[in-house]
Amino acid sequence: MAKYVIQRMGYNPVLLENAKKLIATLQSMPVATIVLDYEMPELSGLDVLKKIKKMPSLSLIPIVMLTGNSSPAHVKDTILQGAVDYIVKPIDPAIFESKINKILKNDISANKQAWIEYELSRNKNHQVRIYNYCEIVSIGEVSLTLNTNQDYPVGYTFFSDSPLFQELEIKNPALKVESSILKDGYFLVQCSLLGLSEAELKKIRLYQKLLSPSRAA
Amino acid sequence: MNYYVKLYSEIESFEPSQLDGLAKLGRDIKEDVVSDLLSLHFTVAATTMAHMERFYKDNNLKEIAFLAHQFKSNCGQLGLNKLHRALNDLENLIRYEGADSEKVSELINIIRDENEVCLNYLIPYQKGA
Repeated sequence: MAKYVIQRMGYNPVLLENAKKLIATLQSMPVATIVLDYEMPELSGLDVLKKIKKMPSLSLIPIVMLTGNSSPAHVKDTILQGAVDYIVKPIDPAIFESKINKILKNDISANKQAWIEYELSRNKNHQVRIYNYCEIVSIGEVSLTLNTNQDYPVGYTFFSDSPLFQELEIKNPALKVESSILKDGYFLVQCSLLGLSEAELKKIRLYQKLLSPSRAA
Repeated sequence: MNYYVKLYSEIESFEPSQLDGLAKLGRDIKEDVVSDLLSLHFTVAATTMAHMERFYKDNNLKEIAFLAHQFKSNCGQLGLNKLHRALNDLENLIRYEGADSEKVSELINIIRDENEVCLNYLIPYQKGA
């Protein structure tokens, strides 16, 4: 399915069955993006991700995890190991295309560095709990916008515990910061939604329809 | 036990609009995406159900969970909502929730029956059917 969507985008998808063939291919031809399955023979997608991220010549290639597993623990592990997105099957062709387009246009290396530095400085010193005011201003299928008192670095990934998601009966999604603008003393932070299944995206679509047109993302 | 039967009572077995989206994708790239995915599904469904029955007889839950994981995504892609949900719940039940034998049994029965129902929904969409 992903292959067909990538074809429609005008790219040439190369399908490979295992990690060995993937690494060999990456070393022999330029690749724009890697879409990994979590469950693969011999090595899991997560192990392949870790392996690629340790190879200096390949570590900056954006990697997306595409899987039927929507557990928050898997999402967190995958993003912490350096994947730029986590997409749950079955895929919506329009959303998949939108995500891949965004990844191909982004400067991924800058985003990743910012996220790592922010996390490291917190762990090195001491545990500090910062209570952030967050209000969801708008929400769509691939992103949401927060109004918050905290400036989040671009590329930073965190889990939201907004009561909105409890209300929609959606497990708290991973949010990845795409931009942050200071406005009237608060930060308008736009985040990508990661790791939501098709069933959960349907709930967001229904919620969007209930919102007034001016508030829907 | 009818725990899952009640839980799934409001879920549609088949959402044809999913195939419309795939048909459009196919027209855009001039490939018969629907036929390709349906052919794949019919083959995979047959082998998956045969293996699942064998593993259930042998009480090999680990393999059943793996099969459920593999099969569910294609089912979801084709709009087979109830089957997708049942496979997802079976995988999670075995891998993360203690694999209660009554619930496993109920889900296997649902999946078996739902698979037959779904094949009947899909056959008319296959070219030449």
